[in-house]
Amino acid sequence: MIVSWLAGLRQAVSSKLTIGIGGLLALAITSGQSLLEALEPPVLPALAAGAPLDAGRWRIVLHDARLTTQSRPDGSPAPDGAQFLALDLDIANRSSETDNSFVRVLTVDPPVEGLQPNPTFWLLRDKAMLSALQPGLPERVQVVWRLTPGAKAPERLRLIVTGQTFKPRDNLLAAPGWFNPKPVAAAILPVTAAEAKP
Amino acid sequence: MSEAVVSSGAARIRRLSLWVLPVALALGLFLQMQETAWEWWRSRELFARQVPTGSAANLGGAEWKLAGLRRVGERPDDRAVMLLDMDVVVRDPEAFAVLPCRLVLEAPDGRRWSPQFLTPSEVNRLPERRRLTIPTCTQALASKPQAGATLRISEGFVLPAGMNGQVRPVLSLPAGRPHYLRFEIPD
Amino acid sequence: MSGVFAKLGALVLAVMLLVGMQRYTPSYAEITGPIPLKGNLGETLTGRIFSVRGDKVLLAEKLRFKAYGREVERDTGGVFALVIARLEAQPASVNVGSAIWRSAQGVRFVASPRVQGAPRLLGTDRLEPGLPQRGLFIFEVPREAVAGATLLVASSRWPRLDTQVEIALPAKPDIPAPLIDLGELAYE
Repeated sequence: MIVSWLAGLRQAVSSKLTIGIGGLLALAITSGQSLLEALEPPVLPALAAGAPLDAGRWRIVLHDARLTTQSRPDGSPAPDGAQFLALDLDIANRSSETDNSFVRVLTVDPPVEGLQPNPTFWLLRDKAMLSALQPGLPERVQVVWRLTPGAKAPERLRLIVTGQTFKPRDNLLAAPGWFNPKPVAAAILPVTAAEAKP
Repeated sequence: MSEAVVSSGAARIRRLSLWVLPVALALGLFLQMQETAWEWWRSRELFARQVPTGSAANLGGAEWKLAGLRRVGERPDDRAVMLLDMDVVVRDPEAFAVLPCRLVLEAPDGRRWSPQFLTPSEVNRLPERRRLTIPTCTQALASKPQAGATLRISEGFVLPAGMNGQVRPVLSLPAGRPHYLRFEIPD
Repeated sequence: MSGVFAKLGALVLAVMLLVGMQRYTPSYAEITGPIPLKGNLGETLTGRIFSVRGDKVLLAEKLRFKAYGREVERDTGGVFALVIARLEAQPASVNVGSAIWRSAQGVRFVASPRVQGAPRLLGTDRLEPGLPQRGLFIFEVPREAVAGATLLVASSRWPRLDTQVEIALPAKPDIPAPLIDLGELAYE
């Protein structure tokens, strides 16, 4: 009687201990993880103009940024005398499918006052709007932001490049795809002034 | 493991539970499927109603009558342009306003042509249509007419030449399914 | 002793079985994915809602065409691949909105948006039963993606439980022409 009671007690204690240790371990791991995440340096690797960068889905090379009076690469000046900020870049689709999500690759941060969001991407080869990039065919592209009339032109532009990672099977449909957008690099580009033309 | 001793009461309950299990499963399945089955029923074109020439039929909160189906022109590559006119009297405006409208031409072999946009020059050739805007079925439904309103609806179709006399208008509305209408055409 | 081996064997077997199931269970995307309909050039393939026949593949380094009243010339870092094909709706009017050039390596190239407005582009107009359209699919691909490719035609880019016609294209294609004028192309 006593022996069986003792055995039962031992079992209960050991099972409680297991549960307790497991719980503590899980707690330690998660808090360690969040600590690590919090400790992650907020400093992004710097990207220099002209240097290539693999941002997961895209490979990009930033070139010069400049102020211009042209709203599109081939065009005559905009009639209302508006100013634009143009940035040239080389971009290649590294994924295995034609895609048009390149509009989310670059973010102006900190935001420049007077710079309107949603820039237009121009394909310099066609001097037409870029609607999709084919895998393995790099293209020279011009990104054009419109400046609100009367706004002060920025002297430098800080751009954050957002990268994505490939998952062969996603969690919902088990289909391959690109996920987890994350800043991977930051570039500070000087903005050259508008070309002085008569 | 020692052999368990099971009392006769427990055995009876166990046997009963086993018998009840299929019933419970069937009931659960039925409750789960009910909505899906109903939706399937309401989205299918299952029962055609033939509408004799010159008479009107009820569907989706309105009375529908074929006013005319004729060939109005040709396009290159042996394509014919046909124009379909329908007269509608709205009875139940709420049921009538449920989109989308599926108004097609059907050949005896089951092929179906959906409406197409006609160029104004193709339609304006008809004298009675000049400076007249006749709504398509979707436009008429979207305009949410009152009860008792009478409407003229017109749709254009592009199909192989030589099909006139063989195709019949078929009308299917969300509020009328699983029933739909097939209009007989005058010889 | 033999009991230990039996237990070990059962464990190994169970692990192998589980790993195999985890590896080779078809995913949801595969189960509900496209239903392939395979064929060759010159064959008419009839799917659930349309039929298609691929006739010919042409390669070009440059394209010239008239779009919206303007003469347009397009060059490329790769090569333009043109497929002359015949499409017909079957049995009801339908849009066949997706054509994809799948390279031998499995890379998917969607029909090029750079030739918008070119004459006789397939996939722009709705198809009608009894009125087959003969025209072009135009792709822009790197040179290494040309040989042994497959043309995928479907009603959408990722058809779900619907036909995807897969036409095997030549394993040894011709040398690209320096320029193709789409206005002078012989379709028949």
